[in-house]
Amino acid sequence: MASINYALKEIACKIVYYGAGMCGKTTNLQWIHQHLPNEKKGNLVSLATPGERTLFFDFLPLEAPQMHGFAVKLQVYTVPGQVMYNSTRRLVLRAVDGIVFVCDSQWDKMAENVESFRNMCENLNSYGYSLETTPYVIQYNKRDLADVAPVEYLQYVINPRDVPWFEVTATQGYGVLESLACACQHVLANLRYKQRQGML
Amino acid sequence: MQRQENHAGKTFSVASGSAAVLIAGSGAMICARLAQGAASSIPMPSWLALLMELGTYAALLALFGAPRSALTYAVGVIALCAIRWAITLASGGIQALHEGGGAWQHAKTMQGMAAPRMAALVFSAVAFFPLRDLLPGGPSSRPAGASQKKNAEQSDVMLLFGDQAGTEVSPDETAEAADDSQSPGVEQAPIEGSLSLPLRVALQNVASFSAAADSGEVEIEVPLALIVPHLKEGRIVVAARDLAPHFPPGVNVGQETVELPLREVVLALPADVLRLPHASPPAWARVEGLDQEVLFVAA
Repeated sequence: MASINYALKEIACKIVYYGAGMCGKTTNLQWIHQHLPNEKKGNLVSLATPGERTLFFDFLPLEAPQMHGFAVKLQVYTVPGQVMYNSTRRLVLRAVDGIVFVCDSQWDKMAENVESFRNMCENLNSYGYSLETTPYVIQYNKRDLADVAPVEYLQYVINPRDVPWFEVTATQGYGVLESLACACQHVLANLRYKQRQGML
Repeated sequence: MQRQENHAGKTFSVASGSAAVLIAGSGAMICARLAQGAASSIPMPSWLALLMELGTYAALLALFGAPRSALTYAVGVIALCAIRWAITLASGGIQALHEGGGAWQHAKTMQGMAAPRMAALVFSAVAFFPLRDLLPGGPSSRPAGASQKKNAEQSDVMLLFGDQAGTEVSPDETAEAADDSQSPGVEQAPIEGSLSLPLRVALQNVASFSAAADSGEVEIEVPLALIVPHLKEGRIVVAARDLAPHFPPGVNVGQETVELPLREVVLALPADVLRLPHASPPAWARVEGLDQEVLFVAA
């Protein structure tokens, strides 16, 4: 859950990149880390196997532009995509403020995308959260590959509620910052709404 | 989160209600003592006093309790009467401690005195207000979904963004909508029609057929009703017995299920099958005029 420090005039939010294994979550964070100016980012903490599989999670602290005089600190995480690490995924989702669901656009990854999305819903439910109240955006990653499903089908499968979505090529950075910014905007808007409703 | 908030709200109501009852009781007893000291009783027929009392309770309930049924209304009035009688009885008990005699006798004596009655009445209303949630049919006892639906019907929520103008969203977030969000895909009405696929393509995932691929160019008609329910799963696995009637004679897949090739099937689907006619984004996604300052620029 986001925290607001009125003394330091600082808002801290947690954004999680969720998705099936090898869908490009860590690639997203690596691109962000490589291309944001130094004063806007911290160190990327990543624990991966030699096969580039995330073992625990990746963590990247970011600083978004000030909002109404408050510094916005983002704690960006990824989850391990492999099925066996569900307890870690659930742990990373704890107190989440916003989610970027990374969907692999390749045809043969569709079932894994669906399974991952369901797993995300279940893990959110285990904390009493839901996608009705937790902002999330969808990334259709790997759009540069030849054998990818059309967006219409991806929308039908993953995004029937028509939340914000982006066609992304994380290796080239196409759509990466846009999706992060959109998630961040919705998180902050949601935060302000909750604050006004007295939920914070 | 919703559950936690509801639980917290109810706990708050019980705590504040208990505190209010204590305050009301104490206040009424003090008033009773003061009134006795002043000996300023106002003569009034008991039936009129009772009628006035009930009328006042009913009016207070209508004003503050917002009862949702006749039963709730009646229970509320009775509850107020009971609280007032309890307070009167308690104040009679205190008087009995000082002057001797039974609490009931003193309570009965106090019926003729307007000041304790009115004081108890006012304090009863104060006590009752936070307790109204605990009444049958009260706000907290209604299902969360019904509450959300009512809220959505009554008003739209204004999200205000600092100094910027408010942005309107309509959170018609029903329990059903929440359920939809938990799983990707949509439920659609039964779809008529069929999809034409070469047999070789349809059975490309069936090893035994590939080995004896002799009738490959034959086209089969697969009903959309067989395919569409599986689209949202990201793979199309149908029972062989359902598919068998559409095969040419002599084709036997030799297994219980057949996975149709997703790519070929989806690309051959009529365009309207994948249309999302009733997309209903969550309330947070319908916010317009987001803070455009929150942008990241690559170095």
